[in-house]
Amino acid sequence: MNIKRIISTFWKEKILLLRDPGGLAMLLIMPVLLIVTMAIVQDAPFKDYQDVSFKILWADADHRLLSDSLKSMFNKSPQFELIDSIEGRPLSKLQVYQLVKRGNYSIGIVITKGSYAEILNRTNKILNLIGSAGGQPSIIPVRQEIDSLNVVLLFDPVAKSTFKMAVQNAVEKMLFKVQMDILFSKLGRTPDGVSAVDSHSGNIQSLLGEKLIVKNLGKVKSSSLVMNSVQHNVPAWIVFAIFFLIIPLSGNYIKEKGEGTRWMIGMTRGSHMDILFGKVLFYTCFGLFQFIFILIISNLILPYVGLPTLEIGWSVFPAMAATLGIAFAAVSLGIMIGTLFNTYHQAMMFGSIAIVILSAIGGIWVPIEVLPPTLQYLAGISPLQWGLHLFQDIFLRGIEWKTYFLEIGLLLIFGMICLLIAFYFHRLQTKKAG
Amino acid sequence: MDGILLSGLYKQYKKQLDLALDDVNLLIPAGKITGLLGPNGAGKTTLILIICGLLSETKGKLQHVKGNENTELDRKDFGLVPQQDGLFGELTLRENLLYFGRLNQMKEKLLRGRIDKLTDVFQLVPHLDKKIKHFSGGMNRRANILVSLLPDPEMIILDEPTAGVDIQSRALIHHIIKELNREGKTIIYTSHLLSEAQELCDLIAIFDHGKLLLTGKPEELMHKFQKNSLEELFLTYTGNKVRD
Repeated sequence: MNIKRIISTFWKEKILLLRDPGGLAMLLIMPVLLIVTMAIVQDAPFKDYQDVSFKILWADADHRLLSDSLKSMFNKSPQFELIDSIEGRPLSKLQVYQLVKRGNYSIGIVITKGSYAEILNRTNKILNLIGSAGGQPSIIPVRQEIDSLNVVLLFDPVAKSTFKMAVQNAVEKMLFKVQMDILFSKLGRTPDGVSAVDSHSGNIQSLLGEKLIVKNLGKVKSSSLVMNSVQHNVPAWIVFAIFFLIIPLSGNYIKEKGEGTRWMIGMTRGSHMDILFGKVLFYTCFGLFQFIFILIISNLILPYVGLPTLEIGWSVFPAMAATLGIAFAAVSLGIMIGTLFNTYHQAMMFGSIAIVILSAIGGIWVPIEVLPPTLQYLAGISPLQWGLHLFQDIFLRGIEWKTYFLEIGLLLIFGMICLLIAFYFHRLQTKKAG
Repeated sequence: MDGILLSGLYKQYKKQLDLALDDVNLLIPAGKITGLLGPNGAGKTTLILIICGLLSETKGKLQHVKGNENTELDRKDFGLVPQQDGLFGELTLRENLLYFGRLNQMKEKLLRGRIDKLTDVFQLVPHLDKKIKHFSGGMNRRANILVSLLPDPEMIILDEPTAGVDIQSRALIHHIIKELNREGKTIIYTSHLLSEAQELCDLIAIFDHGKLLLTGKPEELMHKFQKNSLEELFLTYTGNKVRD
């Protein structure tokens, strides 16, 4: 191996790339645009329902305590934004039906006349049941037949079932709370029931309000750090952009394989491996530059489009080392493609389609968890997935050094295998096939 | 006689039935200009690439002959000017020269000295900082020859060096080839321009279908076969059939 040959190839590649504004734009500007666009597009799906504010149309034909209580709960909840009038006029049941059906809004709630009377009747029945269980006769007058509650929840037909379920659960909880409030307030006014129920009401409420035990498995880097579209998209598309190096690299390499240049370089004194290492060195360093550039520019732009910035914390140097590993794997793959294919178009087509497929199964487009099981299994063969996993370890989960070095090692081994294949086929093409 | 000895040389490309080289036996004399002549597909470029070590022969031997000693061919001192232009269009002439010089592991001072000298000889000094893609055909050929001469090789192999160049550039290239030969360099040269070969070459070898048909000094061959020109001799041996 000759350092002078490696450095001069590095120098030549630098000049060639700097004089290719189209190639530079593809490697630096396009990924930034991609990151910003994808982060915006995927922002909502990445947010928890708690973070999303749903607009709900509201038509009230009852105007009693049930409507007031529900309205007050909706107004207190950051999840919901009630719209009860349009252009200063209260919404009617028909308007709500039409607006939701047309898809202008996803949810509508209609409180029909008599809803409060019905919930009151039900509560009185419960009170009579409690009284009779204590040996007392029914003292509150009730209507024997039970009507449906007549709080109507309307959904846009194309709304997703998980979304419907989440909203339905929230509204049911609110109705239940209203009913419980009425029940407890009436119990408080029943002279004999006060002491008996009050002494247990704390227990009842605590049982009703008992929360699920939630456990987070694995180490979370920071309690404030959550998987949002930025935390997913910035590292994911940086990995994608680095692998996009394959396109100009394999293209340049094929041009270089054109008869004249190939023979001119072949006649120089030294091994072809020097030329390959010079290319690998330059493009790997450029991959690191890409990482820094995209990170800085993305973090400058993202706040302007209402998105958070990527949190790196103190992981800058491990992230840079990881980037070098990812870039090495990408560049070596590019050289292998450039060696195996004979024409520029073949390499372009194969290179770009290979990156898209590897990125799709590698969790770049969407998190790997939402892929079908077969694709999740296949993700293991994508070097883009290894790179993304490495970045997620650094930015989200926190670094476990054993895994960190193992993942970098995997990328380096992949790169070395690609280079050896490239070198082998270069010799074969030069010496045998002509 | 000193030189390069080719013995029983064969070359067959993959998936091709015909032999590209078929039992070639030839001594290329040191310090002389040898012209490899033949129609398209005769095997000239294949032979050149095998001599340079860029292609492997299917069978046969290539040796360096010095006195009574035959040794393995050492390609370190060979310079090749391929048929197709081999410089980087996006780089300037100076950058190309620096790149190829450094790939040849030349010392920086020596390299810059050679660049100054050779660009002057090839009349390319005003174009040193111009990108190769903006060069004319003649400038491009001169630049390609210049690059191959940078490490000052003992043997220079030129594959159709004057193809597609203007009269002035051709005259300059002829002059340079003669000068190099005068310095004692061995030159192997291919061309379709037989008058050029007649003017330049000490020895010619006529090939067709991979076979070496005829070899000797141009004047002696013309005299022996009673032909008035090399072209007449060439057509007698290779026929009038147009080649693809």
